[in-house]
Amino acid sequence: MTFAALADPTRRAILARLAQGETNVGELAAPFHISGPAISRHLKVLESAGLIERRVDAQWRLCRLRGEAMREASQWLNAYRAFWEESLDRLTEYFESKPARRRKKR
Amino acid sequence: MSRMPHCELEMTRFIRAPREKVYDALVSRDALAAWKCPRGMRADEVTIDPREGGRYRVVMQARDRSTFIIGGTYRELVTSGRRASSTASRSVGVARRRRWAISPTT
Repeated sequence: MTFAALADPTRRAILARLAQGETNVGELAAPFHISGPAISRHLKVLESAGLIERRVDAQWRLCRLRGEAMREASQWLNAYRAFWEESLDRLTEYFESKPARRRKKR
Repeated sequence: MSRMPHCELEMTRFIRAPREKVYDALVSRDALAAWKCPRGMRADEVTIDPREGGRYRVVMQARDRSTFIIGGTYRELVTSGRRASSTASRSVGVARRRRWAISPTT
């Protein structure tokens, strides 16, 4: 869910903007050349993934980041990356540290 | 309308070995047993069927006798001219597709 939300470049840009602090929707939409409804759809996706929170304050519609979901996503990706870094290190070692064994095969 | 949501993680390693050997390490039983196992674990059982739709599975055991299983299905195996690649995927809640491309350094 989180990754689906993060897969879109516009949504990543929205998150980058929100990382600077709570922002109102109009201001958030300004840098993008897309319609209001399109922005709303993006915000809805981000909200249902738990990445942002929306609230209304008087006439302002405000958005802000929710830290926990973002942290979980980055932890998951870091763990996955670490797993593969180690695997690839072992693959590299397999070739570079056992020349004798490799010569025997084939 | 909706694209498959995805997140890509790309990693590169320079390995001092001929391409064919690197490819073999992705589809051979002994090689998988050697490089798939994290330190402190040993491969108990390796089954491999390197053809499209074929499956691979490595059962490994830690010193405390706990077992850990990794595996997947080969989606595509290509060895043509100067390139070799293998695509494998596995589902655990989310679809994960791994793609290996082995290219010569220039």
